[in-house]
Amino acid sequence: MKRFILIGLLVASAGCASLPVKQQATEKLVATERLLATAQDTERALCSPTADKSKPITHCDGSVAATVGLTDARHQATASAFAIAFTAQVKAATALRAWKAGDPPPTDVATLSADITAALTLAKQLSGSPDVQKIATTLQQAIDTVTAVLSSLGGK
Amino acid sequence: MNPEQIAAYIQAGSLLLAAGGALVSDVKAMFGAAPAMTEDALNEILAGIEADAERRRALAQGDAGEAPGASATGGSSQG
Repeated sequence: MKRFILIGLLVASAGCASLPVKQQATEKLVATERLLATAQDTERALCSPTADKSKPITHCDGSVAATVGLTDARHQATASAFAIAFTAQVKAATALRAWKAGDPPPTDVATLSADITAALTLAKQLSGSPDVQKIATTLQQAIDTVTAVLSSLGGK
Repeated sequence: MNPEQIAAYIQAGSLLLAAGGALVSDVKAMFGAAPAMTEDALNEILAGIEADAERRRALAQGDAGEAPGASATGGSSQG
């Protein structure tokens, strides 16, 4: 509950341009996490809309999955890319925790963008549908948000 | 901003995020003011991000047929 209160306080502060750098970067990393989570949830729902959300999905049985080309193999490949992206997200959050004003931008934040881009590349292999488009758009927003994190921290 | 406003913002933001349906960009549109946060508070939020990302990584690894807890370092984050 305390964590939700802190996150609530953070998002309540999102509109101020004069916030300390680390607060701005943290806010954007929270946004990246939520975007990645949305993309993962959308892909999983596309693969198997009736599956338990907390359990692994090993077979795509959704009616739309076949029409957009989401085979079991592609689902596995996309999931693997998500695993890598979330690994990078963990590293980026860890690095930002250790970051102090004046430090160079953490390299782990920069690699996060590359790993989300890999997931986006896989998502673009699927045929067009509103859900596939949502995955791609969400991942692109996540990449843009990571770029904003780097910008907040004084990077490119 | 007075304490009552801050409390209302915290409650609204917490409920939105707890519901899992709101992106921060959505919340941004609702909130304009900005209390500065301490380093400790920011680090606690970052710890929350780490925990959530760890959970989702494990789920993705399960989907990918990888062993739970295996190191997902096949991409550019390796090293």
